[in-house]
Amino acid sequence: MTVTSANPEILSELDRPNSYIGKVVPRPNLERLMQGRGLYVSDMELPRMAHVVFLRSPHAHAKIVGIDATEARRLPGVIAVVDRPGACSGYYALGRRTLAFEGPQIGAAARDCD
Amino acid sequence: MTAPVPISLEVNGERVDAHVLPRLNLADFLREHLELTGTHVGCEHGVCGACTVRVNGDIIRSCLMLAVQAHGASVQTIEGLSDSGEVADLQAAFRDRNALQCGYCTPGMLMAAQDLLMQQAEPGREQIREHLSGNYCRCTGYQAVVDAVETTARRRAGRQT
Repeated sequence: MTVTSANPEILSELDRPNSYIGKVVPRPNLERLMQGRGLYVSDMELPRMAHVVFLRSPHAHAKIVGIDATEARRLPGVIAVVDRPGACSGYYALGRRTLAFEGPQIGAAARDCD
Repeated sequence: MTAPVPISLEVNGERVDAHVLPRLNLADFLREHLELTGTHVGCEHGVCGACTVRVNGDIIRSCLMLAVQAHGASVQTIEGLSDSGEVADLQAAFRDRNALQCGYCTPGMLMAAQDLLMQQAEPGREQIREHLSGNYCRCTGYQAVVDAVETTARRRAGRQT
């Protein structure tokens, strides 16, 4: 579905040295972007790709006493539930016992894309 | 209400039959079921305008409409408008004025701008701004977009007379 531009082998006036100076240079990707045919990260679908849902704290200041994820694990299609401190090192808040502000990620669940 | 519901609609002139979950919104239906990814999802709550599509002639936020609500409707997306050539002059004006950078908001901008130009032959800059006020751009800015829409309006009016 991508739109290919004119043959890149053919050199234009803009390929000469310093020819860009003072010139309007056409952007080769504009056509497909304007037609809705660009490829953004959210447009990509990879093999065995999963969706992730982050659980955020509903409290502004609280201690995590425990997270009960049994119901989440029971749902069909759920691949993993990450809720233990340090289980996901990329997220500092996941390994933190005291929450200092509302909304940090305290857990994550991955699910297949149907 | 968790079982898939059969729907039948027209998308870009083609008939589409599908089974969708009742909670699926139209934007996700177009993007994930039909792979029409030109309809973008930005804020997911009707503010940014990136998901603007045309349903039965009116532009709507496809993130705020359920796919099941589009049953029996005629939907047009940026891919449809591009292929039919309906917005070819508008796209050319956007290109000439460099009215986009990343292009994420552009399909929605084009849908909204075309909607205005269909309603009004020669809108003023304030009217253009007002009509595009529900479409957010986070990189290029609006000056070039308004210029491009204004130029297109003038050219279309010139061609008619």
